[in-house]
Amino acid sequence: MLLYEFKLAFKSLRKNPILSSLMIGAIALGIGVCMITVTMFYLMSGDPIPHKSDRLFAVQIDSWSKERPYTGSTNEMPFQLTWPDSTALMNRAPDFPQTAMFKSSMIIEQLQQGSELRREIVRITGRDFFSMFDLEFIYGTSWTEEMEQQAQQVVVLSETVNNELFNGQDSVGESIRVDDREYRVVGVVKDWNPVPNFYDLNNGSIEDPEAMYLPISLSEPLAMTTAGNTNCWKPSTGSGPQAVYQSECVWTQYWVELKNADEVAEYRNFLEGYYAEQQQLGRFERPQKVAVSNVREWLNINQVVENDNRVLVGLAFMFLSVCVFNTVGLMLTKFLGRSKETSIRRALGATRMTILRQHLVEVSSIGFVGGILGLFLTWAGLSVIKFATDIPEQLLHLDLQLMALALILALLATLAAGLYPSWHIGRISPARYLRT
Amino acid sequence: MEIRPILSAMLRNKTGAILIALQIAFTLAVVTNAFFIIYQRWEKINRPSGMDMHNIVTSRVQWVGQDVDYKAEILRDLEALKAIPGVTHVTTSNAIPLSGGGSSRGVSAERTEDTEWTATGSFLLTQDGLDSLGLNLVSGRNFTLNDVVWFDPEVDELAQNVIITQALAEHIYPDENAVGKTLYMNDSELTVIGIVERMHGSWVSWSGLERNMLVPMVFPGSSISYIIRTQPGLTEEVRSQVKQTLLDINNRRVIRRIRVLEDVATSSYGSDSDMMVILSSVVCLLLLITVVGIVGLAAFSVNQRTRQIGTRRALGARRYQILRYFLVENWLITSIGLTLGVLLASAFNYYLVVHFELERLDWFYIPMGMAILWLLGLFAVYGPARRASMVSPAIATRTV
Repeated sequence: MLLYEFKLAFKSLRKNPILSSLMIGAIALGIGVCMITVTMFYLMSGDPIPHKSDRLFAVQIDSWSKERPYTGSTNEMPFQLTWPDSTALMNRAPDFPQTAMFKSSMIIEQLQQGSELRREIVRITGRDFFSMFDLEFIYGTSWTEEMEQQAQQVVVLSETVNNELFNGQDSVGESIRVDDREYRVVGVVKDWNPVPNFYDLNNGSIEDPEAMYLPISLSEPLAMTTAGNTNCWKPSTGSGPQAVYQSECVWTQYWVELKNADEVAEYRNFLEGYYAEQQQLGRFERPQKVAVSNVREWLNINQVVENDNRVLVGLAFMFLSVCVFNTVGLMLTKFLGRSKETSIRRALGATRMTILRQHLVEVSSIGFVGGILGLFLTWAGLSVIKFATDIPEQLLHLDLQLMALALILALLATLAAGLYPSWHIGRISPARYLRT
Repeated sequence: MEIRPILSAMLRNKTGAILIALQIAFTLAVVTNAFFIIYQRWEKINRPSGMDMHNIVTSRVQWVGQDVDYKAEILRDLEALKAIPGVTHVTTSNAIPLSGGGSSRGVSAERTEDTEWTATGSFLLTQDGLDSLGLNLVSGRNFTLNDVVWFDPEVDELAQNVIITQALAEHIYPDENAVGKTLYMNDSELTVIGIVERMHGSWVSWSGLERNMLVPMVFPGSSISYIIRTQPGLTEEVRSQVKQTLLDINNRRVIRRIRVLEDVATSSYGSDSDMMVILSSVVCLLLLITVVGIVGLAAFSVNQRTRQIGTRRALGARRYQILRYFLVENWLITSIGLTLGVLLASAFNYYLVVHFELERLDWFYIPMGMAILWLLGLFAVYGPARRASMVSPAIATRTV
């Protein structure tokens, strides 16, 4: 029966090619426009590290001035920590995988001088970073606890840099120069570039992958400077690159991995104790406030999905509804156009249900074809946008879920459009068109 | 005119009319709000920056090595850059305006317990700073060589005199002449020696974009920016020479982002122009869909009514009357849709204002959108209506 209905639907689509293609076109266009905006929205609001996002926590401590709260964030706490707080946490917090980190702009070259100088963004971080964020090692491993404690000059390279400096060979044990100092390679990781780059959202949510990773124990002795944001409420005493390490300015990100609610409670407890202690020592003049937020919460606090993005999705769905109204009209036209045929079928014994079903099958076929075409339009549209705008490529690719969503949306939209016309046509009286 | 019969005919066959009206309503809601957003972005991108956008080349330099005499290096660089034919002024800077990177400080006209600090963009320039950026000094005086402080951690001295933008002056010294006033910045006290008409700071989407403070100071350190003003028309030539000129002096450094200021701005406004492009495409496609929908439904209703049209013609109606009938019918439907659309557009805009911090829709976008849709509706229905007017009176006498 269903096969017969599909056959009829196909015949009917072919019989009236202009109307059919208009309908399919309207649905496809609606789906295309919707899916383009949804793709950008979805990739921006997506979970950048799905298997771990509920176990990784960003740490915030309200170290701001007593006169006014920090205004830049939605929970009125600075996004970053001061260096003294980061150090205290790394040394004294309960023993969970955790690390402070920041990015720095550095100049890289091969060991023997005279080669080309490359300026790269480098992440300064602890050894737990690699396991916490699941970076994948191609060669070697992270630096050891011992190397970190002794502040040895070691480096983990990204694949891209390893390809360019060492032709992709195993470079563990080799050395390079970073800011004119010699560093020994201990590992090479695959380029790590989650979208959004949740671990450091201070300079936007999409950035190029970082070139390499250096131990955070080196940062203060070598007076490394951050290439990210530094926010201060109190002037630093003294000047020069060292001063910021003693200041109340916030400039380091801090993450901890906690496996369950107990661990979260334990960690939060420690933070509260630390806050109280520092208050006693005369720091932290605001009411006690600390936060540990998992990745999802962190993305919300940072308002990663931009308003433009949401507005576009809203507009796109209004666009789709216009397409649906349009399709209703076209379907009505088409179905009423063959009232006579329907009327005869009814007279020959087809029930209303049969007529309704047959039309819904036809509608679904239109929806399916429209969905496929819509997917193609989405792909084409995304390619045009990739070409014509500065929107980062990472936001413009379709995955399987999005494709499935496009087809489902197309079917739903067409069914919504086809319901009334199908029902309307089902009510045609058998006798009406039999009279001459 | 035959409005009454048209209305009663419409009431007998509501569905088609309702569908078109709904399409028109949604289209109006989308088009007015989209136009509004597009225009706002256009305005944002095109507001005057106060700087000589086309004749400024900027670059960022980062040294490598531990024992570099940065002050000597920078002085040599400035000399060499100024010697490039076509260069008129050069300054160092901590940041490039409009680039998205920079520094902001809290400043105030007074310092008390509950001082409201005003976040202000801070640019550290040499005595040639104003000329290098092409800023317009409206009162007070420009920097001189004596104002400029080269920071030295041993001495730990900061610059005393600053020039501020008019926007900052009006913000912290309302109704007063700011020249000669004291400006507090954290613990330091600065003196305002001049006011520039306008200058855009680092972050194009920040509300404080026009509040800036120019400080005659150089922090010699491992990286610094150069801002190079050129004679009109020689910008590209100068730009192509910057890198080699600097590397010839010392090649143990990386010279990055050698860009004309105009291009710096274009890339910072990228998300705004992208939004304009996307919205314009959406509006065009939407209008196309709406027109196609109207044509489709009108053609159908003409088809359905061929016999009635023939009858009317046979009873003496002229062609133009038939044409007019369909045009008026469409006009009525469009108007109903537009009435609904005005409500929808306002509701949608209200939603955007409440949830997305967008501005209220200016009223004239609504009549503008309505006019466009009226015209578009008539244009769409004209074809089918003309075909209707061609129906021969003889049709009436035919049996099917």
